[in-house]
This record gives sequence, C-alpha cells and structure tokens, in this order.
Amino acid sequence: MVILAQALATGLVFGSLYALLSSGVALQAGVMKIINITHGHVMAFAMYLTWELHRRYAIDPYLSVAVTVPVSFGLGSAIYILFLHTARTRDPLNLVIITLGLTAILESAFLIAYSADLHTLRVASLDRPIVLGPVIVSVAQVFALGLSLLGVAAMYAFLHLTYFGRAIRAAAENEYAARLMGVDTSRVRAISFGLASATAGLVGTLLMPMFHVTPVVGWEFLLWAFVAVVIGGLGSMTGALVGGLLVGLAQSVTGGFFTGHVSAVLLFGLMIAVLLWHPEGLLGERAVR
Amino acid sequence: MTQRRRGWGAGLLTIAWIVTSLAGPALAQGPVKIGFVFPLTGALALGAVGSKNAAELAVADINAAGGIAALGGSRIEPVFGDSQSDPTTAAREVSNLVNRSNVTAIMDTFPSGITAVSSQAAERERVPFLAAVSYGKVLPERGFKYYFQLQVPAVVAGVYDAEILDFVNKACGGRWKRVGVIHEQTEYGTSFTEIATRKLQEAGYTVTTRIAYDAKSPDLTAQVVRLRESRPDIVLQTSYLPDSILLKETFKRLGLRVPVIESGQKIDPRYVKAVGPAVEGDFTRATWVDSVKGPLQDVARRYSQKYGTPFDSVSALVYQGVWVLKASIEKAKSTDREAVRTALASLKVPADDPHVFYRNWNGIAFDERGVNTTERFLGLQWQDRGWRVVWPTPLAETKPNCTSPLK
Repeated sequence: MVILAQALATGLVFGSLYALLSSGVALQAGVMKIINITHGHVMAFAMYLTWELHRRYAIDPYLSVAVTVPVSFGLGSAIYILFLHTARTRDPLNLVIITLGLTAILESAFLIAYSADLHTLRVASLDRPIVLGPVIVSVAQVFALGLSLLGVAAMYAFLHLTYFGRAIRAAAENEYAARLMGVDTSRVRAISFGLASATAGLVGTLLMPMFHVTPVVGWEFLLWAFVAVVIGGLGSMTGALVGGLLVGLAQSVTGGFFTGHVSAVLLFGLMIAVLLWHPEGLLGERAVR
Repeated sequence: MTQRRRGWGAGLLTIAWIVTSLAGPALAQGPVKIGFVFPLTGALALGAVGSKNAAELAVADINAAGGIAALGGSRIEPVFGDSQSDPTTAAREVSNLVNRSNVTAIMDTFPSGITAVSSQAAERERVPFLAAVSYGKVLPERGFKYYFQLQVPAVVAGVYDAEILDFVNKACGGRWKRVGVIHEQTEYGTSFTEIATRKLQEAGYTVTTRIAYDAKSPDLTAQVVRLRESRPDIVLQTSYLPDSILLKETFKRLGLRVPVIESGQKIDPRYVKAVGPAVEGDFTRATWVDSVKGPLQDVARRYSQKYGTPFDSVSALVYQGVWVLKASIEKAKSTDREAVRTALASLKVPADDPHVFYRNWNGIAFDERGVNTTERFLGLQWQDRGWRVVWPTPLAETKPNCTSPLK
C-alpha cells in the first residue's frame, strides 16, 4: 500500500512532465504532420542553460525559466524558419530526417561544449523532503508537478481562448481553408514550433534540480513523449496530457512491483494496440484541439 | 645455363631463410617488439590516453632496469596500433602488428566489445594476447589458447561484494542479518548480484528483496520504497554512475538510513562531486587506490609528474600488464610467440615479487582459461575527505565507520 501510494505520487510528477513535453510533440505533429526528433534535445539544451545560469550567476532554477523558456521558443522558431520552412512541401519523411540531422548536430555541440560527462544542479532547499502520510516527495518534485500542469493548462488555454490559438487549430485542421480565411500559415507554423520548443524548455528547467544532464538525455524523454502522444492521439492536447500521465504512472507503478522491463512491455504493447485498433489514439481526436 | 643460375639463387635464398628463421630467436639481441592495440582515436580515445602513457612508462622502466635479462639485456620496443575505437579495425591492427612489425606479444586495454574481436585475430595469428583491462563474462569462455586477461570476470567480482559486506557487518558488531539487494537490470548488474546474493545466503544472511531497475529511468522512488519496506539492515547495490547518484539522493529523501555496499562505480570522482558531503560513510570497491602503500604509489607519483594527469585504475592495469609480458619473455628466454604463450600459461609470480605492483593481489598466475585468478579487490569507505581502505585487513588504513551513512 505504501509502495503503491508512493509510486502514484512520483508517477504523477513525472507523468505531468511527460505530458508537458508530449503537448509540444502533439502541437508540432498537428501543424506539420511530423514528429520533431529535435524536441528532446531542445529540452537538453534548456537543461544545460539552467545549469550554466546557476553555475555562473547563481540564478535560482525556477527564475531561470524567464530565460530558458523564451530562448527555447526562439530555438524552435529558428529551426522551423531556417530549415523546415523551405522543405515544408516535400515528403514528410524528408522533414523528419532534417530534424534527425539537427539533433545529431546539437548532440555533437553538447559533447564539444560539455563532454560526455553528466552535470547535476542541486539546491539544498529543493531537495528537502515533504512528508504527506506514507508519501515523501521533494520540494523540486512538487514544483515540477505544479508548473508542468500549469504549462499544459496555459497551452490549452492559449489554443482555445486566443485568436492566434484558434488560427493554429484551424491551420492544423485544414491548412488550405485556414489560408483562405486569411491565416498566415507560415507564421502559424513558426510560432507553433516555438511554442512546442518552449514546453521542452520548461520541462528541461523543471527536471534539472532532480535529474542530471548529459548530451544524450533527450533521447529517452523524446521516446516516452512520443509513446504518450501516440497512445493519447497524435495532434491532440488532451491526448498528450492523458498519454503523458499514463506513461509516468505506468513506469513508476510497475517499477515499484516488478523489474524495469515490465513498463516498456506494457507501454509499447499499448502503443502497438492503439495503432492497430484505434489509430487516432485513445482520445480519438485528429487535430490540435 | 640461365635457368640453372636461377635455380641456384632460389636454393641459396631458401637455405638462408631456413637458417635465419631457425636461428632467429636464439641470436636476437635486437629490441623485443610488443604490440599495443589501443583506441587512440575515435569515441574512446580520451580514456585510452592513460593506457598509452602507462605502457610507455612501463617500457621505459623495464629498459632502464636492464631490459630483458634472459635475452642479453634486449630492450623492449613498443609498437602502437590504433583500433580507432572499432572492433574490426582492432582485429586488422593485430594482424598488421604480427605480419609487418613481427611483434612477440600483443596487449589491449578496453572495452570488452573490442577485445572480443581483436583477440580472435590474435588467436588466428597465434600471438599471445593480454587483455589488461577488459573483463567481459564471455571472453575467457571461448577456449582460446593465446588469450590471457589480467582481471577476473565481472561475474566473479560479485563474490567480493559479498565478502566486503560480511566483513563490514562483522566489524560493526555482526547484528545486520537482513540484506536488501538493488541492481540495474542488464547483464552487468544481474550477474554481479546473482553471485553475491548466493554467497550471502550461504553465509546465513536473509535477502529481503532483490530489485532490478532500468538505469535510464529518471526516477527510482518506487523501487527505493520497495527496498525500504523490506526492512533491510544493510543494502547491496550494483549500478552505473548516473543511477548511483539518483539512488543516493532517493535513499536520503526517503530516509533509508542503512549502510550501502556498492560495487565500484562510486570511486568515480564525478560521484563524489555530485553527491557532495553526503558521500561520507559510503562503501565501494576498487582494484587499487593511490592511498594504498606499495610500489604502485611510486609509479603513480612518477606518472603524474611526467604526464600531468592522475594515474587511474586503467593506467595501473596497463602498467602491470607490460611487466607481466616482460616476465613471460624472461621465462621463455625467447621472442618466439609459441614459447612466450607457453611461458604465460605457466607463469607463477609470487605475491612478494617486486614486479607484482598490486599489494592486494595474490601474485600473478593464469588459469586454463587464461584468467589471472590472483586479482583481489579493496573494500573502501569514504571517511573524512577521501576513500580509505577498510578491507582486506592487512592493507586496511582504518576500521569501517559503523554509524549511519545518511545523517
């Protein structure tokens, strides 16, 4: 019982981080119909940035959000404008390969700048345990849970309540019709990529006080975000939220009772089942909604 | 007439070739060539710099001490081959070293994946091959005749974790009977803990739980809660570096305040840097640390002076390895590869030999699989700003600190 309660609590923390990261993958998949492989490495970039800001200027990791999120936004938009825009009409596979190439370049840049070593950022006040009955969580985990759910909610609100958000959804649903209605779809895509990368930036910063950064840290997270998005429904925001939480909870709960292989079998099994019998995802939506 | 002259010439050449090849080893007073196949470029190059430096220092020391006495003081000449961090290239380099440079023996460093392939080439070329660092489980199980390795296989090393745990328990009053086991789930973690767990159960310990986890996981809270709920008195842990750090933090956060015996990753300076003062009281294992008094301490000092970098455990193994090859050539009294192989297979260097640099090893001797079974480990505890040897007793610098490692 204690194990289950604790597994649910930490599963929720990491699930919400996966959900936020997945919402970015879903947004990019919605407007561009591709999976952006660079997404995980943008997260790693934000982790290095958070680490540098703390190391050089002793900036609190949560205050560094003011830098890491806009910079990640800029990085995502730049990736779209400089590379993907020109190739946007080509085969989607070409676009995916471009993002794969960019990922390799980013990874090499991390290796050159920081070597293959792992770097950690620890603040004693954030490591402090909070005891809630049988469950113990750290201050950093509480922050991660709260801020990542807030991030997902903000993204949802932006897409549904603002004019620009509605333009993104319109472009995702039917690009041609959106263009006819006067939506600048190139701008929509650039901003969508920026927004999606901003979610990766926020995840990176929230992760830094409780994990470590290496040049390859992005792969593992991208993989699970991808699984979450497929399970939840490609291009669906609520799907990303549900998928992300499911991945986090499944990893944590199975880890508490079985070996680490079980969660992979379960989640990939579920992903394949979804693709076979419910290809639009568990939430059954087709576009960014 | 022309044809007869040609025939004479060919005959003379053949005779000359037979004579030189028969007399070659006995008359050789030229340098004795030893080949080193190291990943000098590529992904592993950074780690191999220490191997190359250590090999050069060992050769220089041997030559300064009079070279190979049995061959009239012949000097050793190192010939370096670059594996480019790639197994196929490593195998090609082995063949080149034999066929172009005519080396007497070959040594490699790490990783086991490259050693597995390059040692096949050595077997084909019939050249004695000493793996100084690699210790993969399958390497000595292939029935090779020319393969030798300085370290015991990983699976055997698990025995030492059990021995260290038992020693720490007894030194701390012998009241810890319940052992919780946590390990990463690949072959490395599984094989280590399998043998350690069996040894502990034979010694009368109760294994409360055995938890395998994914080392890439960003969170191990649920696993540690399961470990804590099994109420262990002491924990046995096999992990890689990143998850060692994560486990340490999770133990601390969840209040698991029992001693943890860990199988060798914590010796990495990055571990100490990451966990900070919380390292106090941690246990780990190593083949060598520079605080152990003995001949390696002097080598380490000279190495650091010459190359400006610390003498690490890999460099130490390579340094020792060159001296092992030297001893086998002395024993063979020849540079003939077959004779050197036979000498290596029957080599018995006693522990008090000045050229057994590891004071904790039981000399040097290879079993029928080519494994140097004399390798012994040190049990270490972090006490007051450094790793201190606590086991085995003859080499111990201090007694284990039995108070809770997580205050």
